[in-house]
Amino acid sequence: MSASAAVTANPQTMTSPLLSVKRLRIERRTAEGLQTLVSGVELTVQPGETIGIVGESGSGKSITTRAITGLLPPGLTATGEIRYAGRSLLGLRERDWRTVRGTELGLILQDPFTMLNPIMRCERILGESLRNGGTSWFARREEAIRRLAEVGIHDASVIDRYPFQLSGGMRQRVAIAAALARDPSLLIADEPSTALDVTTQREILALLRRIQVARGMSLILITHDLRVAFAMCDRIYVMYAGSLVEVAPADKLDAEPLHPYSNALLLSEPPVDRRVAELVAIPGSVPSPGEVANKCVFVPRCQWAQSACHQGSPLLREVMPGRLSACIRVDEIRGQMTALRRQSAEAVFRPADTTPRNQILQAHGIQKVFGGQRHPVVALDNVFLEVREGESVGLVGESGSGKTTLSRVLVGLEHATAGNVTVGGVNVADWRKLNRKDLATIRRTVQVVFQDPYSTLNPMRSIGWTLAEAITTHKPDTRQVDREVEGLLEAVGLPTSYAQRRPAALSGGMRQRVAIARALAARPRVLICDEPVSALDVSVQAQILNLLNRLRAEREIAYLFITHDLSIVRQVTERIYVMHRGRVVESGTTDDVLNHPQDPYTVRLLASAPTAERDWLDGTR
Amino acid sequence: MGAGDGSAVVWARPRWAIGGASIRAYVARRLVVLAVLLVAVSFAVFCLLYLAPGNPIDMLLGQRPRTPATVSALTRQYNLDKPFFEQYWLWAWRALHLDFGTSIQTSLPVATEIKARLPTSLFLGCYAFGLATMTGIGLGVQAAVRRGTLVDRFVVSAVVIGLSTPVFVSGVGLLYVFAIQLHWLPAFGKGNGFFDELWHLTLPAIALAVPSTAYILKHARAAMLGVLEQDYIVFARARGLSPWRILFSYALRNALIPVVTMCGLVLSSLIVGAVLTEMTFSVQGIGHLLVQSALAKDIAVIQCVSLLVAVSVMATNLLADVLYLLVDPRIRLGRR
Repeated sequence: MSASAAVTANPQTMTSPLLSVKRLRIERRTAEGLQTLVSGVELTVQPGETIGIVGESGSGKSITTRAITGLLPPGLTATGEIRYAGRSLLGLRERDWRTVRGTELGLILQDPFTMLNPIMRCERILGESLRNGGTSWFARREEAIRRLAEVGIHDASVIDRYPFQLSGGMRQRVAIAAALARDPSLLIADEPSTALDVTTQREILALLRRIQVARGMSLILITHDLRVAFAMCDRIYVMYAGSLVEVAPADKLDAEPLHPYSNALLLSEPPVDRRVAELVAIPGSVPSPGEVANKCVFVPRCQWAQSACHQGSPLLREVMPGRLSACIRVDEIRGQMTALRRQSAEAVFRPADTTPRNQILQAHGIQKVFGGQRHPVVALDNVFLEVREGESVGLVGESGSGKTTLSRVLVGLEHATAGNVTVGGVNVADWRKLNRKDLATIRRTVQVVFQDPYSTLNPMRSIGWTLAEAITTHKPDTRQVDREVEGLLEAVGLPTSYAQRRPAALSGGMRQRVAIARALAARPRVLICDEPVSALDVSVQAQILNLLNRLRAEREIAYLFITHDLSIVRQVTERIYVMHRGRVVESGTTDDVLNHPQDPYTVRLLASAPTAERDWLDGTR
Repeated sequence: MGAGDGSAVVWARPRWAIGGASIRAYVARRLVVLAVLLVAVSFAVFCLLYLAPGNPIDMLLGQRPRTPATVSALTRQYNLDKPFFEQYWLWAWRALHLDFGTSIQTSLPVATEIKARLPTSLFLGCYAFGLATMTGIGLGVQAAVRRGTLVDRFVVSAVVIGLSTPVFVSGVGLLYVFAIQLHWLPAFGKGNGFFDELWHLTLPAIALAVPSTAYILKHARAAMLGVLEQDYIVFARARGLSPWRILFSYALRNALIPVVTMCGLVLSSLIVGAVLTEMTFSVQGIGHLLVQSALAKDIAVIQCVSLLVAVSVMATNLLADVLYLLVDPRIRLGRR
């Protein structure tokens, strides 16, 4: 790592870059004409260097790498200049691309579950990617097994398995091995760990870094997570709405961002080591590049925007040696940005009073077994959980830990095999036996906000209709439904005019606000939030977390917050339960558990939460 | 930890042991179900004799004179004096030995009649099936690969026409153009010897294949479009694999999985469902026989043909399902 860091420190004296991209512009042909997706992207990668491209969804980071590899979807065209080792890549014919892809440039995609051909065994996937296709079957198999060992799979039998027989982490390892089969000098990893569990994510990132160092390969890491980029990369390119807004060495960017967007992105990342008074959220949502053409792309959401920022799109310029920023006011506002960061770091969270209150939700000795008697799968094993009035409780675990099954048992979407659930004083051991009145009580007590705001709202109905339906379901005699709808929209921070809109006209964050408003319509005493922000962009995530914290203070609602993300749990809960393989392995106050974890699993989970430190990835295989 | 997220790796059996045993077990299970179904169907077919208007003796007599001798002979032959279920049992037992009685039209054993026509129907059906799958899948894949181009639009409109044209219309059209105007192909008959038969059955096979081709094409195109958008195609291209390999072992292999099941259903309909085609082209096949027998109320033949239809539908379905297992490891090995 130190070698590449030394090179980076001195960008002027560098030898010719391995990859250089200049004035890259990507456009989509539509019926209305050309639509710009990416413009003015300039980047360089030195041999052996790791660069990060950081941005939220719609920033154009993935499309940029597709253009570099010549894999733009139909209808998209790239112009500008892309040179790899002196060779121009733009305009290569498909047959010429074959001499570049795989052998010079490797690419791994985000989702290991869809990236591998489902009907090929790993041996064929690796074998067909190896360059020496002419050698014997046995030699190729041996080579494939060696390649698997390089990506940390030491079980040779994996080679005879199909992708669907492997876990997500294993599939991503196989994919990395396949992408590296022809020994490319530059690997592009597009969110390689985003679809994986936290602990697996850290392993995959550590693996990538290890391979990159061992092979002396260059790496472009695409990520939405600044902390991951800080831990992995030498230099970072921050993209927003199709444009680069800042380029800087990782450590410098971490110490002092020189663009309001980078600054805000850094601030909206919830820290895992402490609870902040309030997350600094960026108002609004990510615009499309077309909406911010001919002005600074961050202008609609920037607190320092002036009329000058609207005059033409600013170019990246060198503000300090090795540091580029597209903010024209950066010299004036540097001090203010630093002050904002210090203020946020120093603001102390004051905990609410913790006098014990009545219990409203309790699960006792919950057992849930799926499958028949021959292959029983124990999803929940003797789980105890309680939520008291007005408190916020976290339920933490990775996929397969049983946290979602537990929440489904709590609201009656699944029936527990054994054990007791009490909701608002009603015993609900068997939901099928409850009478109408008890059911109504339960629905008024517990409501759920689901993970994916895109699929939980009826696309054919307006927001107002959806909310009105929720209101009249729980209180059929409501007189002024419209006023109630407006009240709900205001409570979740949406303009009342949004009642007329359909879900399709709303961004992900707005939809999640609507989903929260709908849950609030029943005036619940407990809100179960199942990964409510994990489908959202970081800058929007902070808005929703702040909203949930505010609603709790205003309405005295209790939360059961289900998530895999420890930094989120830290920001919104007072007590947590840590689940692993169907059991609660640890519980207690959030501060106690996260500061002094007792169970080895909690320790591992905590170590896996990304931090900006370089040594975050050390100590894993 | 590393690679060893142990529990996530489920199957650790040797490569060749996977699948074989489970496929055999699956086929055995299916065969049992098939046998049960066959009993139910044969019972329904047997009941045809009683469901048809008039009494069974008159039905079985047909045009023959009704005399005490013929009546008693038929009663003995069909066991009409025995209890109903025993009658069925005896009928089914004989049917199992391919004895379906005699046709009232020709006084020949039904089995002989069927045997004379089945090869023609099989030939025609398989011929049409070959045409339908090859053109259907070929054009469907072409259309998907060239999505949105003129080729694609032309193929998609042809599908609509193909699906909505009845066989007797396309058949007459083909006859008029290729047999009567151009004299390229014969208008009727089935020919002798393989190549002569191929020659004679070309027009009927094309007419028969048109709707199935359109049907297969439509599904093949949709399946292919779905597969071409998958990440694994992008990932294969990103690794520099050859376009042919990507088209065949990536796109086509995956797209064919849903199409295979559908082709099984198409095959059975082509072999025994060629009634209109055989009538239009005067081909002496099973469909032709069925129409003749229906007109003559030849109940013994109708029973036999009905059973044949049922068996062929079941068999091709089983075949399709087994193929599905073979081509899709996810089904074969049970997705976790």
